[in-house]
Amino acid sequence: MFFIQISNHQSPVSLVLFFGTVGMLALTIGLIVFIIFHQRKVIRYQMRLQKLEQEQQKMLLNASIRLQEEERQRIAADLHDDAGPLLATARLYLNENLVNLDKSSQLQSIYNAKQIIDDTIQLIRNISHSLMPPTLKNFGLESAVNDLFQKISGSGSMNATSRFHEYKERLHPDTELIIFRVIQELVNNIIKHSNSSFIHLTQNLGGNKLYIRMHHDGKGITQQDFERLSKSFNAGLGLKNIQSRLRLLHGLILFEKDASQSYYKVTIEIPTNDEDE
Amino acid sequence: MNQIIANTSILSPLLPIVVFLFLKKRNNRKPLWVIFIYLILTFLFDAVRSVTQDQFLEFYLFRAFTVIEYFCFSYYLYSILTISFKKWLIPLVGIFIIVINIKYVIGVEIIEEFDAVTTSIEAILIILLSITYFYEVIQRNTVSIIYANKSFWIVAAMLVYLSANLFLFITSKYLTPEERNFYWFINDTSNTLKNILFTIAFILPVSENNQPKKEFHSYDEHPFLN
Repeated sequence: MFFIQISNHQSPVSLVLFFGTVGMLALTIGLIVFIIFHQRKVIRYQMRLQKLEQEQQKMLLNASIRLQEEERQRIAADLHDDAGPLLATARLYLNENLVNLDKSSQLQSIYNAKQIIDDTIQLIRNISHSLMPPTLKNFGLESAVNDLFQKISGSGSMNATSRFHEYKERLHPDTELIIFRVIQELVNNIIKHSNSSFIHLTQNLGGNKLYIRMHHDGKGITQQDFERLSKSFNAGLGLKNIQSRLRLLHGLILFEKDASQSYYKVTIEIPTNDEDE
Repeated sequence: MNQIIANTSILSPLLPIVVFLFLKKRNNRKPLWVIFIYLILTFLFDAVRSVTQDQFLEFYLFRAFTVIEYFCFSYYLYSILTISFKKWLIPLVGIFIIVINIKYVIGVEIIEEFDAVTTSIEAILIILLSITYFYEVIQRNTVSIIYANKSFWIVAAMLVYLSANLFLFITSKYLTPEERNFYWFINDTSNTLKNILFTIAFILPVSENNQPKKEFHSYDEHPFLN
């Protein structure tokens, strides 16, 4: 009807006006409809992503609980299998029959019992140290890492060196412990799986972030491998544990191969003054 | 029929005005107040224009209204756009529109009933800013539904109104008064539609502004020493 009226006007301006207006309206409505549909698509994608993230979180939580349980079992086994028999043996030496023995046998028994108690003390100290390294507690991350690397080098299996460039102020003890555990886990993995001849660790500061990078010349993994393995249900606890620990610090980890293709690098990035802390 | 459409258009701003006043608490934001003031002025201008039918008064009213409309719309868009583009362009174009209008008012050689140049410039710029807003919405990494947002409806209202009128504004200089009166229903209809969309915006509750997600740090920026 409107078009017929336009045609009746027979003016080219009228036609321009008619088609221009209809075209502009069509474009505007098309744009609005496109944005609505596009946004719905984006929301659906985001929801899916959130669901995946929640699943990942759940997996990490399970891994962390399993790790805690394994740690408890290990401590329980250490106490039960080592400390228990040692103390039982000491008790045997010190049982009431001791009064019936001659003086030299009594002294021998007491000496044996003392030896066993010393061993037990050492064992309990070792268990305690494995829970919280004293070097870390007393002297900080730098000393603890240097200590760990010296022990690895001392074993003769590989050359391990570490260098802290900017670690003048210690981080919070809990943060240091988490970083140390991550380094320990990474070093364990390198020793167990990489067959490398050396590990070199460096520490730096950049902005408000602490960077720790480890190099090794063995068989390593890339970021894709890490992401794949940490999402896999069958993968070991180690990588999941690294991820969950770093998540606590809002940190990031990157596995990559050196540009020369001869080394593998692992970089850890930790915010030093996290707002949430 | 055209008279009914014209009267509906004149009265249509009353709907969002009443809704705004009823739901003042959920619309108590400066940019929304600007839209509210714009609606009051729209109603007043249209009412005065329809009552007086004075050519001179219409001449001044059209020019004043274009400036006011431009500043109200651009202020609203200015306040919701977050993209770092050349925002100084908005007041600059505003000044340009004022200057052109002053030139017309001072050097009145031929009194044109309608200010085609300035309205066209205004429409093009507001359309571009509205498209920028929608582009920003697409870029934003939020999980809120766009049509639950007041800004969406207000920008949609501006966009529909100005894109429907753009060719009417551009060609108005070349149309005879009869033709212009005939086609003026486009303006009336789009004005009514615009006011309905403003009403929807005022009815909507305040939506939470979802911040874009924090981007992951690029490892390439590591200032690392080996």
